[in-house]
Amino acid sequence: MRTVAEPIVGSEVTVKPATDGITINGIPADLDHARKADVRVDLATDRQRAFITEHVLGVLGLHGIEAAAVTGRVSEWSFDRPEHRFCYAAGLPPSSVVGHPAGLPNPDLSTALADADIVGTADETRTTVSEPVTVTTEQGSITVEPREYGEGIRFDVTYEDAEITAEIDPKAANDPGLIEDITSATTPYLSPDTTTAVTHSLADLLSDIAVIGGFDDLRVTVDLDDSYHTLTIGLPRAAHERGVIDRRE
Amino acid sequence: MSLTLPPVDELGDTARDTAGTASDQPVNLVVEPSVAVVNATVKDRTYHGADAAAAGCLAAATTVAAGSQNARLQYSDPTAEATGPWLVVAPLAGHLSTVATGSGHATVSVGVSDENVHTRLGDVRDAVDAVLTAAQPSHDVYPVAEDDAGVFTNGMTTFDFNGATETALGVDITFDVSITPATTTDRVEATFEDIDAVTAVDYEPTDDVSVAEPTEECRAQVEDAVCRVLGDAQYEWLPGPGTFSSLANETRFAFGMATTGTPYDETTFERDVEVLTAIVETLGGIR
Repeated sequence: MRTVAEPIVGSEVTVKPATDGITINGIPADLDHARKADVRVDLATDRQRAFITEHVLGVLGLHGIEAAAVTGRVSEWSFDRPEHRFCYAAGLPPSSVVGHPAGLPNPDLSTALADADIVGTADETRTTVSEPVTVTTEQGSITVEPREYGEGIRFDVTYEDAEITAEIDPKAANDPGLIEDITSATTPYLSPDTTTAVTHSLADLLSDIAVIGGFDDLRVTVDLDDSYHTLTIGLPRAAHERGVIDRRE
Repeated sequence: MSLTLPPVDELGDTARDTAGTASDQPVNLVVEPSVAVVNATVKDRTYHGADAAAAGCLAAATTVAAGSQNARLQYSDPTAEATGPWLVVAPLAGHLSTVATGSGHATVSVGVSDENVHTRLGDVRDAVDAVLTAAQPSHDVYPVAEDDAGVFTNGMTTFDFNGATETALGVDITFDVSITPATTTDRVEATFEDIDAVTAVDYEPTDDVSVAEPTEECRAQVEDAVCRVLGDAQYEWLPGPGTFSSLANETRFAFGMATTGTPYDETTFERDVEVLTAIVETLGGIR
Protein backbone atom coordinates (compact mmCIF):
# COMPACT_ATOMS: atom_id res chain seq x y z
CA MET A 1 0.00 0.00 0.00
CA ARG A 2 1.15 3.54 -0.69
CA THR A 3 2.23 5.33 2.48
CA VAL A 4 4.65 8.03 3.60
CA ALA A 5 8.26 7.00 4.12
CA GLU A 6 8.68 9.27 7.14
CA PRO A 7 6.29 11.12 9.46
CA ILE A 8 5.04 14.41 8.03
CA VAL A 9 3.19 17.29 9.64
CA GLY A 10 0.14 19.23 8.50
CA SER A 11 -1.49 22.12 10.31
CA GLU A 12 -3.75 19.96 12.49
CA VAL A 13 -2.25 16.48 12.16
CA THR A 14 0.84 14.33 11.98
CA VAL A 15 0.84 11.52 9.42
CA LYS A 16 3.02 8.50 10.06
CA PRO A 17 3.77 5.45 7.91
CA ALA A 18 1.43 2.47 8.22
CA THR A 19 0.97 -0.86 6.53
CA ASP A 20 -2.73 -1.56 6.59
CA GLY A 21 -5.24 1.17 5.91
CA ILE A 22 -5.76 4.61 7.40
CA THR A 23 -6.47 5.42 11.03
CA ILE A 24 -7.09 8.75 12.74
CA ASN A 25 -6.22 8.85 16.43
CA GLY A 26 -6.23 5.07 16.24
CA ILE A 27 -9.73 4.83 14.76
CA PRO A 28 -10.02 3.02 11.40
CA ALA A 29 -11.29 5.19 8.55
CA ASP A 30 -14.13 2.96 7.40
CA LEU A 31 -17.91 2.85 7.29
CA ASP A 32 -18.14 0.92 10.56
CA HIS A 33 -16.59 3.85 12.41
CA ALA A 34 -18.19 6.76 10.52
CA ARG A 35 -20.48 8.82 12.76
CA LYS A 36 -22.61 11.93 12.47
CA ALA A 37 -22.22 12.39 8.70
CA ASP A 38 -24.24 15.52 8.03
CA VAL A 39 -22.29 18.78 8.14
CA ARG A 40 -19.13 16.80 8.88
CA VAL A 41 -17.94 13.20 9.23
CA ASP A 42 -16.52 11.92 12.51
CA LEU A 43 -14.86 8.61 13.18
CA ALA A 44 -15.66 7.06 16.54
CA THR A 45 -15.21 4.10 18.81
CA ASP A 46 -16.73 3.72 22.25
CA ARG A 47 -14.63 6.44 23.92
CA GLN A 48 -12.56 7.91 21.11
CA ARG A 49 -13.68 10.28 18.41
CA ALA A 50 -12.01 12.15 15.57
CA PHE A 51 -13.85 15.20 14.24
CA ILE A 52 -14.12 16.61 10.70
CA THR A 53 -12.11 13.77 9.26
CA GLU A 54 -12.99 14.60 5.65
CA HIS A 55 -10.52 17.47 5.71
CA VAL A 56 -7.71 14.97 6.25
CA LEU A 57 -8.98 11.89 4.44
CA GLY A 58 -9.83 13.84 1.28
CA VAL A 59 -6.24 15.11 1.12
CA LEU A 60 -4.82 11.63 1.65
CA GLY A 61 -7.05 10.38 -1.16
CA LEU A 62 -5.90 13.14 -3.50
CA HIS A 63 -2.30 12.04 -2.97
CA GLY A 64 -3.14 8.36 -3.30
CA ILE A 65 -2.19 7.49 0.28
CA GLU A 66 -3.73 4.14 1.20
CA ALA A 67 -2.11 3.53 4.59
CA ALA A 68 -1.33 6.08 7.28
CA ALA A 69 -1.51 6.57 11.02
CA VAL A 70 -2.90 10.06 11.48
CA THR A 71 -2.86 11.76 14.87
CA GLY A 72 -4.29 15.12 15.85
CA ARG A 73 -1.78 17.67 17.13
CA VAL A 74 -3.92 20.57 18.34
CA SER A 75 -3.33 21.31 22.01
CA GLU A 76 -5.23 24.56 22.57
CA TRP A 77 -8.97 24.99 22.84
CA SER A 78 -10.92 27.02 20.29
CA PHE A 79 -14.34 27.18 21.85
CA ASP A 80 -15.82 29.07 18.93
CA ARG A 81 -15.65 25.73 17.15
CA PRO A 82 -18.58 23.46 18.11
CA GLU A 83 -16.32 20.41 17.84
CA HIS A 84 -14.02 21.81 20.53
CA ARG A 85 -17.01 22.44 22.80
CA PHE A 86 -18.09 18.85 22.17
CA CYS A 87 -14.65 17.60 23.23
CA TYR A 88 -14.51 19.81 26.32
CA ALA A 89 -17.93 18.54 27.44
CA ALA A 90 -17.15 14.92 26.62
CA GLY A 91 -13.77 14.80 28.33
CA LEU A 92 -11.87 14.44 25.06
CA PRO A 93 -8.67 16.35 24.18
CA PRO A 94 -8.63 19.13 21.53
CA SER A 95 -6.39 16.92 19.39
CA SER A 96 -9.56 14.93 18.63
CA VAL A 97 -10.49 17.71 16.18
CA VAL A 98 -8.49 17.15 12.99
CA GLY A 99 -10.48 19.39 10.66
CA HIS A 100 -8.96 22.65 9.47
CA PRO A 101 -10.21 25.71 11.42
CA ALA A 102 -10.88 27.67 8.23
CA GLY A 103 -12.80 24.82 6.62
CA LEU A 104 -10.09 23.87 4.14
CA PRO A 105 -8.98 20.41 3.05
CA ASN A 106 -5.72 20.73 4.96
CA PRO A 107 -3.48 22.64 2.51
CA ASP A 108 -0.39 22.35 4.73
CA LEU A 109 -0.76 18.59 4.80
CA SER A 110 -1.22 18.55 1.03
CA THR A 111 1.98 20.56 0.52
CA ALA A 112 3.87 18.26 2.86
CA LEU A 113 2.56 15.19 1.05
CA ALA A 114 3.57 16.64 -2.31
CA ASP A 115 7.11 17.01 -1.00
CA ALA A 116 7.16 13.70 0.86
CA ASP A 117 8.73 10.44 -0.20
CA ILE A 118 5.86 8.04 -0.88
CA VAL A 119 6.74 4.36 -0.61
CA GLY A 120 4.97 1.08 -1.32
CA THR A 121 2.91 -0.01 -4.28
CA ALA A 122 -0.78 0.50 -4.73
CA ASP A 123 -3.02 -2.31 -3.54
CA GLU A 124 -4.00 -4.24 -6.68
CA THR A 125 -7.46 -4.93 -5.39
CA ARG A 126 -9.77 -2.22 -6.73
CA THR A 127 -13.44 -1.83 -5.92
CA THR A 128 -16.42 -0.72 -7.95
CA VAL A 129 -20.14 -1.49 -7.98
CA SER A 130 -21.64 -4.36 -9.94
CA GLU A 131 -24.63 -2.22 -10.88
CA PRO A 132 -25.69 1.41 -10.56
CA VAL A 133 -26.78 2.66 -7.14
CA THR A 134 -28.78 5.81 -6.49
CA VAL A 135 -29.47 7.44 -3.14
CA THR A 136 -31.77 10.43 -2.81
CA THR A 137 -32.29 12.43 0.38
CA GLU A 138 -33.32 15.95 1.30
CA GLN A 139 -29.66 16.84 0.77
CA GLY A 140 -29.70 15.91 -2.92
CA SER A 141 -29.17 12.87 -5.08
CA ILE A 142 -26.17 10.71 -5.91
CA THR A 143 -25.71 7.92 -8.44
CA VAL A 144 -22.68 5.70 -8.83
CA GLU A 145 -22.05 3.46 -11.82
CA PRO A 146 -19.44 0.76 -12.49
CA ARG A 147 -16.16 1.69 -14.11
CA GLU A 148 -13.40 -0.41 -15.58
CA TYR A 149 -10.50 -1.66 -13.47
CA GLY A 150 -7.93 1.11 -12.90
CA GLU A 151 -9.98 3.95 -14.36
CA GLY A 152 -10.32 5.75 -11.00
CA ILE A 153 -13.30 7.90 -10.09
CA ARG A 154 -14.98 10.40 -12.36
CA PHE A 155 -16.96 13.00 -10.45
CA ASP A 156 -19.71 15.06 -12.07
CA VAL A 157 -20.85 17.34 -9.27
CA THR A 158 -23.53 19.99 -9.07
CA TYR A 159 -23.85 22.28 -6.04
CA GLU A 160 -26.66 24.78 -6.47
CA ASP A 161 -25.76 26.67 -9.67
CA ALA A 162 -22.14 25.46 -9.85
CA GLU A 163 -20.80 22.35 -11.58
CA ILE A 164 -17.45 20.62 -11.65
CA THR A 165 -16.03 17.49 -13.25
CA ALA A 166 -12.87 15.75 -12.09
CA GLU A 167 -10.96 12.50 -12.56
CA ILE A 168 -9.29 11.28 -9.37
CA ASP A 169 -7.57 7.97 -8.61
CA PRO A 170 -7.51 7.39 -4.84
CA LYS A 171 -4.63 4.93 -5.26
CA ALA A 172 -2.29 7.18 -7.23
CA ALA A 173 -0.82 10.65 -7.25
CA ASN A 174 -3.22 13.07 -8.93
CA ASP A 175 -2.97 16.30 -10.91
CA PRO A 176 -1.15 18.88 -8.72
CA GLY A 177 -3.21 21.73 -10.16
CA LEU A 178 -6.45 20.00 -9.28
CA ILE A 179 -5.14 19.28 -5.79
CA GLU A 180 -4.19 22.92 -5.33
CA ASP A 181 -7.65 24.05 -6.41
CA ILE A 182 -9.40 21.65 -4.06
CA THR A 183 -7.24 22.23 -0.99
CA SER A 184 -7.64 26.02 -1.27
CA ALA A 185 -11.45 25.83 -1.48
CA THR A 186 -13.40 26.42 1.74
CA THR A 187 -16.23 24.24 2.98
CA PRO A 188 -19.67 25.22 1.60
CA TYR A 189 -20.82 26.67 4.94
CA LEU A 190 -17.97 29.19 4.79
CA SER A 191 -17.57 29.51 1.04
CA PRO A 192 -17.88 32.94 -0.60
CA ASP A 193 -19.53 31.42 -3.69
CA THR A 194 -20.89 28.17 -5.06
CA THR A 195 -17.89 27.61 -7.35
CA THR A 196 -15.66 27.43 -4.28
CA ALA A 197 -18.17 25.19 -2.56
CA VAL A 198 -18.44 22.70 -5.41
CA THR A 199 -14.65 22.58 -5.71
CA HIS A 200 -14.35 21.84 -1.99
CA SER A 201 -16.97 19.12 -2.29
CA LEU A 202 -14.55 17.01 -4.33
CA ALA A 203 -12.40 16.49 -1.21
CA ASP A 204 -15.49 15.53 0.78
CA LEU A 205 -16.72 13.15 -1.90
CA LEU A 206 -13.33 11.52 -2.21
CA SER A 207 -13.11 11.11 1.56
CA ASP A 208 -16.61 9.66 1.92
CA ILE A 209 -16.84 7.48 -1.18
CA ALA A 210 -13.25 6.41 -1.77
CA VAL A 211 -11.35 6.53 1.53
CA ILE A 212 -14.15 5.66 3.97
CA GLY A 213 -16.43 3.99 1.44
CA GLY A 214 -13.65 1.91 -0.10
CA PHE A 215 -14.33 2.55 -3.81
CA ASP A 216 -11.61 3.07 -6.42
CA ASP A 217 -13.28 2.89 -9.82
CA LEU A 218 -16.63 4.61 -10.23
CA ARG A 219 -18.58 7.17 -12.15
CA VAL A 220 -20.20 9.47 -9.61
CA THR A 221 -22.98 11.85 -10.58
CA VAL A 222 -24.17 13.95 -7.69
CA ASP A 223 -26.41 16.92 -7.01
CA LEU A 224 -25.53 18.33 -3.59
CA ASP A 225 -27.22 20.60 -1.09
CA ASP A 226 -26.40 21.56 2.50
CA SER A 227 -25.28 18.93 5.02
CA TYR A 228 -24.52 16.58 2.17
CA HIS A 229 -22.47 14.01 4.07
CA THR A 230 -25.74 12.27 4.89
CA LEU A 231 -25.91 11.58 1.19
CA THR A 232 -22.26 10.93 0.44
CA ILE A 233 -21.71 8.52 3.34
CA GLY A 234 -25.17 7.09 2.70
CA LEU A 235 -24.22 6.01 -0.81
CA PRO A 236 -21.44 3.53 0.09
CA ARG A 237 -23.56 2.28 2.97
CA ALA A 238 -26.42 1.64 0.55
CA ALA A 239 -24.09 -0.15 -1.88
CA HIS A 240 -22.92 -2.47 0.89
CA GLU A 241 -26.48 -3.10 2.08
CA ARG A 242 -27.57 -3.99 -1.44
CA GLY A 243 -24.61 -6.36 -1.92
CA VAL A 244 -23.33 -4.70 -5.10
CA ILE A 245 -19.68 -4.35 -4.09
CA ASP A 246 -17.37 -5.65 -6.83
CA ARG A 247 -13.72 -6.19 -5.82
CA ARG A 248 -11.32 -7.01 -8.64
CA GLU A 249 -7.61 -7.68 -9.10
CA MET B 1 -44.53 3.94 21.34
CA SER B 2 -47.27 6.40 20.53
CA LEU B 3 -47.59 9.42 22.79
CA THR B 4 -49.85 12.45 22.71
CA LEU B 5 -48.64 15.88 23.73
CA PRO B 6 -50.48 16.94 26.89
CA PRO B 7 -52.55 20.15 26.90
CA VAL B 8 -50.39 23.16 27.68
CA ASP B 9 -52.65 24.42 30.46
CA GLU B 10 -52.31 21.12 32.33
CA LEU B 11 -48.52 20.91 32.20
CA GLY B 12 -47.83 22.75 35.44
CA ASP B 13 -50.41 20.91 37.55
CA THR B 14 -49.41 17.54 36.15
CA ALA B 15 -45.76 18.27 36.84
CA ARG B 16 -46.53 19.31 40.42
CA ASP B 17 -48.59 16.15 40.99
CA THR B 18 -45.86 13.97 39.50
CA ALA B 19 -43.17 15.67 41.57
CA GLY B 20 -45.15 15.04 44.73
CA THR B 21 -45.55 11.30 44.19
CA ALA B 22 -42.00 10.19 43.46
CA SER B 23 -39.89 11.79 46.15
CA ASP B 24 -37.90 8.64 46.96
CA GLN B 25 -36.60 7.83 43.49
CA PRO B 26 -32.86 8.04 42.86
CA VAL B 27 -32.50 10.17 39.71
CA ASN B 28 -33.40 13.85 39.95
CA LEU B 29 -35.13 15.12 36.83
CA VAL B 30 -35.50 18.86 36.37
CA VAL B 31 -36.49 21.16 33.54
CA GLU B 32 -34.49 24.16 32.40
CA PRO B 33 -35.71 26.79 32.09
CA SER B 34 -38.19 26.02 34.85
CA VAL B 35 -41.52 27.53 33.89
CA ALA B 36 -44.68 27.79 35.95
CA VAL B 37 -46.76 29.29 33.15
CA VAL B 38 -46.06 28.34 29.56
CA ASN B 39 -46.60 30.69 26.65
CA ALA B 40 -47.44 28.05 24.10
CA THR B 41 -50.42 26.56 22.30
CA VAL B 42 -51.16 23.17 20.77
CA LYS B 43 -52.08 22.93 17.12
CA ASP B 44 -51.80 19.95 14.82
CA ARG B 45 -50.22 17.86 17.59
CA THR B 46 -47.44 20.42 17.95
CA TYR B 47 -46.55 23.03 20.55
CA HIS B 48 -46.22 26.47 19.01
CA GLY B 49 -45.23 29.82 20.48
CA ALA B 50 -42.26 31.39 22.19
CA ASP B 51 -42.19 28.74 24.93
CA ALA B 52 -42.87 25.73 22.71
CA ALA B 53 -39.47 24.21 23.49
CA ALA B 54 -39.86 24.82 27.23
CA ALA B 55 -43.32 23.26 27.12
CA GLY B 56 -41.89 20.25 25.31
CA CYS B 57 -39.15 19.83 27.88
CA LEU B 58 -41.68 19.95 30.72
CA ALA B 59 -44.03 17.52 28.99
CA ALA B 60 -41.22 15.08 28.31
CA ALA B 61 -39.74 15.28 31.80
CA THR B 62 -43.15 14.79 33.42
CA THR B 63 -43.99 11.84 31.19
CA VAL B 64 -40.66 10.15 31.93
CA ALA B 65 -40.95 10.72 35.67
CA ALA B 66 -44.51 9.41 35.75
CA GLY B 67 -43.51 6.20 33.99
CA SER B 68 -40.20 5.46 35.67
CA GLN B 69 -39.26 3.78 38.94
CA ASN B 70 -36.01 5.75 38.92
CA ALA B 71 -36.99 9.35 38.20
CA ARG B 72 -37.80 11.98 40.80
CA LEU B 73 -39.19 15.08 39.10
CA GLN B 74 -38.03 18.29 40.79
CA TYR B 75 -40.71 20.85 39.96
CA SER B 76 -40.91 23.73 40.05
CA ASP B 77 -38.14 24.70 42.48
CA PRO B 78 -35.47 22.01 42.48
CA THR B 79 -33.87 21.03 45.78
CA ALA B 80 -30.27 21.51 44.74
CA GLU B 81 -28.87 19.55 47.65
CA ALA B 82 -30.93 16.44 46.84
CA THR B 83 -28.83 13.29 46.67
CA GLY B 84 -28.41 11.21 43.54
CA PRO B 85 -27.56 12.03 39.95
CA TRP B 86 -29.30 14.83 38.06
CA LEU B 87 -30.70 14.94 34.57
CA VAL B 88 -31.60 18.43 33.37
CA VAL B 89 -34.07 18.52 30.50
CA ALA B 90 -33.18 21.52 28.36
CA PRO B 91 -33.68 22.60 24.74
CA LEU B 92 -30.40 21.17 23.44
CA ALA B 93 -31.55 20.00 20.01
CA GLY B 94 -30.67 16.40 20.80
CA HIS B 95 -27.31 17.03 22.42
CA LEU B 96 -25.96 15.87 25.75
CA SER B 97 -24.32 18.48 27.92
CA THR B 98 -22.04 18.60 30.93
CA VAL B 99 -21.08 22.28 30.57
CA ALA B 100 -22.96 25.55 31.01
CA THR B 101 -21.41 28.85 30.06
CA GLY B 102 -21.03 31.51 32.74
CA SER B 103 -21.84 35.19 32.96
CA GLY B 104 -20.43 38.45 34.13
CA HIS B 105 -20.76 42.20 33.88
CA ALA B 106 -18.52 44.70 32.15
CA THR B 107 -18.57 48.47 32.39
CA VAL B 108 -16.72 50.39 29.72
CA SER B 109 -16.05 54.00 30.66
CA VAL B 110 -15.80 56.52 27.86
CA GLY B 111 -14.40 59.99 28.52
CA VAL B 112 -13.64 63.02 26.37
CA SER B 113 -12.11 66.24 27.62
CA ASP B 114 -13.14 68.78 24.99
CA GLU B 115 -15.07 71.58 26.71
CA ASN B 116 -16.88 72.68 23.56
CA VAL B 117 -20.25 71.07 24.22
CA HIS B 118 -21.05 70.46 20.56
CA THR B 119 -17.70 68.87 19.79
CA ARG B 120 -17.84 66.94 23.02
CA LEU B 121 -21.24 65.46 22.27
CA GLY B 122 -20.03 64.35 18.88
CA ASP B 123 -16.92 62.78 20.34
CA VAL B 124 -18.91 60.94 22.99
CA ARG B 125 -21.34 59.67 20.38
CA ASP B 126 -18.46 58.44 18.22
CA ALA B 127 -16.82 56.78 21.20
CA VAL B 128 -20.04 55.04 22.21
CA ASP B 129 -20.52 53.82 18.65
CA ALA B 130 -16.97 52.48 18.68
CA VAL B 131 -17.55 50.65 21.96
CA LEU B 132 -20.81 49.11 20.73
CA THR B 133 -19.12 48.04 17.51
CA ALA B 134 -16.21 46.50 19.39
CA ALA B 135 -18.69 44.62 21.56
CA GLN B 136 -20.21 42.87 18.55
CA PRO B 137 -18.92 39.34 18.01
CA SER B 138 -16.35 39.15 15.26
CA HIS B 139 -14.22 36.42 13.73
CA ASP B 140 -11.75 36.18 10.90
CA VAL B 141 -13.42 33.14 9.36
CA TYR B 142 -16.77 32.33 10.92
CA PRO B 143 -19.99 34.24 10.07
CA VAL B 144 -20.70 35.18 13.67
CA ALA B 145 -22.80 38.24 12.82
CA GLU B 146 -25.57 35.97 11.45
CA ASP B 147 -25.04 33.23 14.01
CA ASP B 148 -28.53 33.24 15.53
CA ALA B 149 -28.25 29.56 16.43
CA GLY B 150 -25.05 30.10 18.40
CA VAL B 151 -23.04 27.64 16.31
CA PHE B 152 -19.93 29.69 16.97
CA THR B 153 -20.97 32.37 19.46
CA ASN B 154 -22.10 29.85 22.08
CA GLY B 155 -18.39 29.29 22.73
CA MET B 156 -17.28 32.91 22.51
CA THR B 157 -17.06 35.69 25.05
CA THR B 158 -19.99 37.87 24.00
CA PHE B 159 -21.31 41.23 25.16
CA ASP B 160 -25.00 42.10 25.42
CA PHE B 161 -25.69 45.84 25.84
CA ASN B 162 -27.33 46.45 29.20
CA GLY B 163 -27.42 50.23 29.51
CA ALA B 164 -25.55 53.53 29.56
CA THR B 165 -25.06 56.10 32.30
CA GLU B 166 -23.84 59.66 31.82
CA THR B 167 -20.75 60.57 33.83
CA ALA B 168 -18.83 63.81 34.37
CA LEU B 169 -16.48 63.08 31.50
CA GLY B 170 -18.64 60.96 29.23
CA VAL B 171 -20.60 57.71 29.52
CA ASP B 172 -20.36 54.39 31.31
CA ILE B 173 -21.64 51.61 29.06
CA THR B 174 -22.57 48.35 30.75
CA PHE B 175 -22.76 44.90 29.21
CA ASP B 176 -23.92 41.48 30.30
CA VAL B 177 -21.07 39.17 29.38
CA SER B 178 -21.38 35.51 28.41
CA ILE B 179 -18.19 33.78 29.47
CA THR B 180 -16.38 30.59 28.52
CA PRO B 181 -13.45 28.76 30.11
CA ALA B 182 -11.21 30.96 27.94
CA THR B 183 -12.61 34.27 29.21
CA THR B 184 -10.15 36.34 31.22
CA THR B 185 -10.07 39.93 32.44
CA ASP B 186 -7.23 40.66 30.02
CA ARG B 187 -9.26 39.38 27.08
CA VAL B 188 -12.31 41.41 28.08
CA GLU B 189 -10.18 44.55 28.40
CA ALA B 190 -8.49 43.81 25.08
CA THR B 191 -11.86 43.95 23.34
CA PHE B 192 -11.95 47.72 23.88
CA GLU B 193 -8.24 48.60 24.13
CA ASP B 194 -8.00 50.12 20.64
CA ILE B 195 -10.61 52.80 21.37
CA ASP B 196 -8.80 55.98 22.47
CA ALA B 197 -11.75 57.42 24.41
CA VAL B 198 -12.08 54.36 26.64
CA THR B 199 -10.68 55.31 30.02
CA ALA B 200 -11.44 52.13 31.95
CA VAL B 201 -12.90 48.65 31.59
CA ASP B 202 -14.30 47.08 34.72
CA TYR B 203 -15.10 43.38 34.35
CA GLU B 204 -16.54 41.16 37.03
CA PRO B 205 -17.59 37.52 36.55
CA THR B 206 -20.79 36.66 38.40
CA ASP B 207 -21.39 32.99 37.50
CA ASP B 208 -18.46 30.77 36.59
CA VAL B 209 -18.62 28.29 33.77
CA SER B 210 -20.12 25.14 35.25
CA VAL B 211 -18.50 21.83 34.32
CA ALA B 212 -19.82 18.50 35.59
CA GLU B 213 -17.31 15.72 36.03
CA PRO B 214 -19.10 12.37 35.97
CA THR B 215 -17.00 9.25 36.21
CA GLU B 216 -15.77 7.74 32.97
CA GLU B 217 -17.98 4.70 33.57
CA CYS B 218 -21.04 6.86 34.13
CA ARG B 219 -20.32 9.02 31.10
CA ALA B 220 -19.82 5.96 28.89
CA GLN B 221 -23.07 4.39 30.03
CA VAL B 222 -25.06 7.57 29.49
CA GLU B 223 -23.55 7.98 26.02
CA ASP B 224 -24.41 4.36 25.26
CA ALA B 225 -27.99 4.99 26.35
CA VAL B 226 -28.26 7.94 23.97
CA CYS B 227 -26.60 5.99 21.17
CA ARG B 228 -29.07 3.15 21.51
CA VAL B 229 -31.89 5.53 20.61
CA LEU B 230 -30.28 8.18 18.40
CA GLY B 231 -27.36 6.24 16.91
CA ASP B 232 -24.83 8.76 18.20
CA ALA B 233 -24.20 10.82 21.33
CA GLN B 234 -23.18 14.40 20.68
CA TYR B 235 -22.41 17.22 23.07
CA GLU B 236 -23.08 20.95 23.18
CA TRP B 237 -22.89 23.53 25.95
CA LEU B 238 -25.87 24.95 27.77
CA PRO B 239 -26.05 28.65 26.95
CA GLY B 240 -25.76 30.57 30.19
CA PRO B 241 -25.91 29.72 33.87
CA GLY B 242 -29.13 28.29 35.25
CA THR B 243 -30.43 25.28 37.11
CA PHE B 244 -27.65 23.06 35.80
CA SER B 245 -25.05 25.46 37.17
CA SER B 246 -26.70 25.59 40.58
CA LEU B 247 -26.37 21.85 41.16
CA ALA B 248 -23.38 20.69 43.16
CA ASN B 249 -23.46 17.01 42.23
CA GLU B 250 -20.80 16.08 39.69
CA THR B 251 -23.02 13.35 38.25
CA ARG B 252 -25.23 15.62 36.23
CA PHE B 253 -26.12 15.68 32.58
CA ALA B 254 -28.40 17.78 30.46
CA PHE B 255 -30.29 16.53 27.43
CA GLY B 256 -33.28 17.50 25.34
CA MET B 257 -34.56 17.17 21.79
CA ALA B 258 -36.26 20.59 21.71
CA THR B 259 -34.78 23.60 19.94
CA THR B 260 -35.46 27.05 21.32
CA GLY B 261 -37.55 29.14 18.94
CA THR B 262 -38.97 26.24 16.97
CA PRO B 263 -42.20 24.23 17.35
CA TYR B 264 -42.15 20.98 19.30
CA ASP B 265 -44.06 18.14 17.66
CA GLU B 266 -45.12 14.68 18.81
CA THR B 267 -42.31 12.95 16.98
CA THR B 268 -39.82 15.08 18.92
CA PHE B 269 -41.77 14.39 22.11
CA GLU B 270 -41.69 10.63 21.60
CA ARG B 271 -37.98 10.69 20.85
CA ASP B 272 -37.34 12.90 23.88
CA VAL B 273 -39.22 10.52 26.18
CA GLU B 274 -37.40 7.54 24.72
CA VAL B 275 -33.92 9.01 25.18
CA LEU B 276 -34.63 10.52 28.59
CA THR B 277 -36.04 7.22 29.81
CA ALA B 278 -32.92 5.42 28.61
CA ILE B 279 -30.69 7.91 30.44
CA VAL B 280 -32.77 7.80 33.62
CA GLU B 281 -32.72 4.02 33.73
CA THR B 282 -28.96 4.07 33.15
CA LEU B 283 -28.31 6.63 35.88
CA GLY B 284 -30.66 4.77 38.21
CA GLY B 285 -28.71 1.58 37.67
CA ILE B 286 -25.35 3.22 38.34
CA ARG B 287 -26.20 4.54 41.82
